[in-house]
Amino acid sequence: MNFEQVIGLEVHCELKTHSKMFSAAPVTFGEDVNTMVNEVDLGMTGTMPVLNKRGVEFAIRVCHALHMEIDELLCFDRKNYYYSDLPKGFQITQDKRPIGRNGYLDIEVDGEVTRVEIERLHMEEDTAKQFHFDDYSLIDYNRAGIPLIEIVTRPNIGNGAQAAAYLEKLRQVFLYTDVSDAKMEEGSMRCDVNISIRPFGSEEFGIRTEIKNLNSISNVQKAIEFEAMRQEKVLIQGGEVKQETRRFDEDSKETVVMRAKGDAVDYKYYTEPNILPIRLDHQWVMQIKDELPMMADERAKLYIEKHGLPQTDANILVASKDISDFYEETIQTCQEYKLVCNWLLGEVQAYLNKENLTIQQTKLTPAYLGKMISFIQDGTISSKQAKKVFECLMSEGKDPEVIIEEKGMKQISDPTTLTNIINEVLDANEQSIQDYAAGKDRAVGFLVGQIMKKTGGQANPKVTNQILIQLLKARVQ
Amino acid sequence: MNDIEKMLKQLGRKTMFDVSDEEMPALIEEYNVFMSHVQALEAIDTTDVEPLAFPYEIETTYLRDDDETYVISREDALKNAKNIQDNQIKVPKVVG
Amino acid sequence: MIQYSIEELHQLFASKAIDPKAYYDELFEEVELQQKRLNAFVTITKEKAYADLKEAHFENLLNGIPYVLKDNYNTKGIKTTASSRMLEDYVPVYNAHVVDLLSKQGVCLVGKASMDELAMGGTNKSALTGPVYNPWDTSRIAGGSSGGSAALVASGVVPFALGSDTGDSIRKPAGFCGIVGFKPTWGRISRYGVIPYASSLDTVGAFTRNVRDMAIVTEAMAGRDNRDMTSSFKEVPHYLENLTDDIKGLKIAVLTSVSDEIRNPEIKANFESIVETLKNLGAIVENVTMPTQLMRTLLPTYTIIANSEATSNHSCLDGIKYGNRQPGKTTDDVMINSRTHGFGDHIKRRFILGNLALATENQERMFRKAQRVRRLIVEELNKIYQDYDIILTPNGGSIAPKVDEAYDDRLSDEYLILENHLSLANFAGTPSLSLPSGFVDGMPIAVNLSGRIFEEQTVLNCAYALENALNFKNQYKREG
Repeated sequence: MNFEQVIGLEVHCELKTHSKMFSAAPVTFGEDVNTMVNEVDLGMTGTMPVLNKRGVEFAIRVCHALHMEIDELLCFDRKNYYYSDLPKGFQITQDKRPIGRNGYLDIEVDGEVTRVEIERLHMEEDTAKQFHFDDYSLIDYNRAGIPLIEIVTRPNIGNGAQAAAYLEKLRQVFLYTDVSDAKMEEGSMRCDVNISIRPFGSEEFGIRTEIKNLNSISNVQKAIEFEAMRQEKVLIQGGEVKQETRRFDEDSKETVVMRAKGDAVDYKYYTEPNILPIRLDHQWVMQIKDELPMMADERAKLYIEKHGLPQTDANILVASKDISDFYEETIQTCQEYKLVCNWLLGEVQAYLNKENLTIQQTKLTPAYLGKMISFIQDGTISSKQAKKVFECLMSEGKDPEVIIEEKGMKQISDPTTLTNIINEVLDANEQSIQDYAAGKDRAVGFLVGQIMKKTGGQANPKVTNQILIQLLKARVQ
Repeated sequence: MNDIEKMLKQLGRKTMFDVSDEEMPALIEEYNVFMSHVQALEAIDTTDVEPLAFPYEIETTYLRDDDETYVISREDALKNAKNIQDNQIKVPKVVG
Repeated sequence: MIQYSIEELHQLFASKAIDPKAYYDELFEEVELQQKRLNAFVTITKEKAYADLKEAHFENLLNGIPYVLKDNYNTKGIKTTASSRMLEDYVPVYNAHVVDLLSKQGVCLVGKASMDELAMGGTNKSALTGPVYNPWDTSRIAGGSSGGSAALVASGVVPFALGSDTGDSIRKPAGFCGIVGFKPTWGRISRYGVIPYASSLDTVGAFTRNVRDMAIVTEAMAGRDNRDMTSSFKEVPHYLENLTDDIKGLKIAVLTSVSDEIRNPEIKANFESIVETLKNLGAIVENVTMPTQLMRTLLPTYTIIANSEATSNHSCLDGIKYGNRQPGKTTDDVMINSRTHGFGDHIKRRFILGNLALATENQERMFRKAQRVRRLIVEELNKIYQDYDIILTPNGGSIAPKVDEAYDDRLSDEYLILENHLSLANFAGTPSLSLPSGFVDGMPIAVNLSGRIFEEQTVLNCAYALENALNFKNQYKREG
């Protein structure tokens, strides 16, 4: 029997606001434990939540980017459960009326475009962080209350590769809307998977399992692929898939049972009585849409249509917002689109890979990269020299003009100067002129070598070649 | 233990209480009163009546400015905790 | 001499007619005596009061005035227990908003008053420190849940005290103790920092011995607080300045669905005389009713909503971050043991039943049903306010019960309607004031005046007129 997979994803994303979703404590990462809290985050009895404006703004940005309908009346609910990382004994979330509904994201896998339908986006708050030791756990409340958005797809993802593509694309949305650093390894982006399988053509859904504890996009894909196989085996052997929560075990690359359905907690959702419904200003919601930064797709389109970049290059450029941003800044000063692109995807990317750095961590600035490329373009330096300049640019961050000066790299491109030098070389190499006249092409190469030797490699090769041929032809006649 | 007792015992557990056998009769009694309340409400026709979660229908427009932050000292944060280690609250090992 | 009102005391301090220090010395002697008699304090904050007094210059009405807080107001550095074992040693690290507001006015905190555990009761018998006794007869209860605050104002120890009111927790004890108790509009005063009971019903309010003082205290606390999203931006009127006892033409509705339930003939007669008094003052007083079947649902609706919200509100009390932690093998055990140990039996029962009503499988039939009925009740009530400025009812059907005869749960019709109608003002969020109206068997009784939301002034004016026409202003009872 052939099965198809039915997959839905729930993604949580931590927002990089300054303060928490319902408390004025700062949002920070890596600070000393329990120093970024106030009485609200600790669930001190009597405290009350107050919604963060920027938290809402960020949620709206993502809603717009995902083409969602926005509910301009914000309503919040309590999700009640007891757990040591949940200081209030409930989480404030949006159960009944999420801020965003009915969105989508188009993804591409092996050249085939699929639309992932998004059911909802809602705002909520993060829990405290627990550190587990052999026989005890420690709780740090710095994370408690950090704004989260949760994005839930409809169950219309068909396989692990699509899920991975969706997550990659969604991650881009978080980065391009500038609402989160969206790092799955660090937990600022998290994903839970709901997966079931059914015979091809079947209308009914199979029994689904939920997979948690996935800390990278590739693990999501692996977990889905394993789980689909597992479910298939169960069904083929005449068994029944159990509705349960599983987690992905990174060592064995398998999903293992966390808890059965019977242990599921009843969250007893009800309207948060301390937050009145909040009416958003329609103008503001629309303004956020107008001011939305360009998403990856739009940028790629612009690069292809307006900058004349090949599609593959454009797609690679926008795959990283950092690189795409850098490209956009560089072309402010240097409109050599293709060259800028080549440098970023070539030398720059190679350097970053080798040093394991992000582009912001280097000393390279868009202005200097642009300047260097302009120097190549106007013949001030050769491509070969540029590689040396680039090395200094990365390691020292100096102005390319200064580097060129210091290294004495400036190319000789002035025709008069070059003509004099070349004539001197020709005078000294009568044999080569004879060879040239006899049709031996090697002679040109030899002469260029001599010119380079004489100029310490600074002669502009292009101009040199031109003048040399001219002068040779004149002497042979 | 009859079904209601069992249900209440479980519900107690879900509310993070251990309901002892001695406490059960009083709980059953209050449960019966509670269910009579539920019944009293069932007698009221609430067709097309929306739940009222606040005393009156009101909306607000206020949202907090994200730029103003407020923290308390770690000393204050942990002041009332009974078990602390390495500036964190210590609990028996939590199994996720 | 420890019995002055806010205005009197201000006058005496400001004019230097009495020495504030000497006054406070005498006050704390009285505090000791009354504590023995009434058991109304959880914590006496003598040092804090003297420290506050040092800063006082008596330039405004509340400056240097002694007061008491119900023990569910968070006070930074001062133990706040809500009369629960769970919070026995809890010392908050922040102040409730109104505590800060009053401190800015220069008030002096005398102590934290006993209450029903977590404000969940009407007798004050569930307090960790035991019952609070009624100053007029110490074999009787002061009422609850704000029993300690009521008793301390009624014994003349302080001119005002704060309480909190979820169903009648200010107004019921005010009536039992013969003083003024006022629950303003939900949203008029910030609840930030007040240990909650049921957030959609909870209201901050005060006890005083006269209406003018109530206008002063309410004005000091009212207004927007950005830490409480439900607090109103509406401007706060100058309640004291605008206070008038001219109520000619004021339209008052006598809610006979309540008053007809009175069985005690003396209370009935008293209520009728109050109606006459109001007519004589020029008010237009007419009878109105609400559907009886709906009136009988007041207690069921209240019980379900209040217990459900309470169980969620108090989920934070798990012994982990603060509170009375008990040992356990697992973290769940720690929570279970702490909560089992930390709460009184009746509180646990209410939390469990609140959870029952919130459970997803029951919520539509129980909690949400109660919220729907609440809407019907509020709509009926607001119909009356379309035509009337004030709704008048008896405060209750009896005098304060004997300590050993006071129970919370009775289901007779008289009880269902007459003893629970004060919750109408919580369901609808309306301002509601209880005013002493006479005595039965030597015990004070009261009437209740409620108005439209945010019309505190109208309620205060009506109460002021009635108070001036009656003879119970500034009354207190002290023995020992």
